[in-house]
Amino acid sequence: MLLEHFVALLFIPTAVLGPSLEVTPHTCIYEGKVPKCEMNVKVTASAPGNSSLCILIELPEFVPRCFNESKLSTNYHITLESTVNVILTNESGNILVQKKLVLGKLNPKNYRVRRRFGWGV
Amino acid sequence: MRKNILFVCALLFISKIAHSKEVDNGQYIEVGALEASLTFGYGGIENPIHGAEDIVSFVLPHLAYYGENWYFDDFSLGYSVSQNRSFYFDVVGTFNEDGFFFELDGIDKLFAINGLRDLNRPGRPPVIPDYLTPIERSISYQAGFAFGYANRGVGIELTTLHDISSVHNGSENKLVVYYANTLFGGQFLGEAGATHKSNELIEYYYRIRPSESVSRIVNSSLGGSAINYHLKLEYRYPINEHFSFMLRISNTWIDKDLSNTPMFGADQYLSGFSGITFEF
Repeated sequence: MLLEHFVALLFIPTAVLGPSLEVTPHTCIYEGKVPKCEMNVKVTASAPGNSSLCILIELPEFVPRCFNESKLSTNYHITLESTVNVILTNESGNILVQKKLVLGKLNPKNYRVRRRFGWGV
Repeated sequence: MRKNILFVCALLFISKIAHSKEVDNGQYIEVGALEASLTFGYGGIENPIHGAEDIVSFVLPHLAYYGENWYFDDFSLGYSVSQNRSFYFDVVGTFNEDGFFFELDGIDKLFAINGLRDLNRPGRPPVIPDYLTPIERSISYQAGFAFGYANRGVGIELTTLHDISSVHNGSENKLVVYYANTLFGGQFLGEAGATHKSNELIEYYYRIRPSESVSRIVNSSLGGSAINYHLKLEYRYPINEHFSFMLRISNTWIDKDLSNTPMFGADQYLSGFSGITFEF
């Protein structure tokens, strides 16, 4: 009985799970003073029940890229100067889900040599 | 006190607990982070002054902050004129330790170090004749330069300091070599050093004045500077984010020419502390 329950879970229609959007990696780290960072990202999305899906990255150089499928996987080479959104829309342009592409600054901890000359117990 | 510290030392090493938590070797400190802790346990300083009581405490506070250039580390204050990851050249200030053997009334309140201290002053005879004055010496604050090199757990530091508190107008030069590493999941530090104390410093602290003794022998000069040597071992074992075991033990060998003088009752002294540290 219990086994059947868990096996049945595997067959839950994906339509029930709703649209999904994965962007990997989702953070780009820059070093130095200029907030600019380049990287390749992989975007994977699915939205059961939709005949076509579009990916929009909120950057001036990108136009929406559309696919006549309910699942998609595509790659981008992007240059980030700020944190932007990656948006999954349906054929009507309705936003199904969106994720952030985060621009972060490398801020390593700075360390100094501990001094020894002081007196104490 | 020596027995107690050695006992705790042995106990900690015998009962060492293996664990895999990663720790740094303690040679470096994060810039901009305030390091504040209280260690509850037992420790203090054996007082080598003739007739003086040991200085014992059950609490050991610690406060340190290292900015980009400025820093303080307990009583020490410094400004780095030049530094990189390995080298540093600092303008520094710190207390001279000799004064603590005589006068702890001010500082011990801050460091809670007077738990069991005898109220009598070191060297004071049990019955004071009218013409005698008690032996009293002041704590001095020194300033100067520190030059250091540290790399891969090994470090060397040379400090030259001069009295800026007009207490003795003497100077002190200190050379320290140390090794820091991780050991059994904790931080280990081994340190050896030599401290040169100038004639002015020695004369002020350790020459007994005519009014302080019935003997005329002690009136003579001590005859120059002195060099003390020390060995120090320290081990810190983290229990969790805030608590750790701490053991610190140091032994100082006093210059023979100095320890043979009437002011001294021993030619070496032990100091240290063991307990559980709470880091804020």
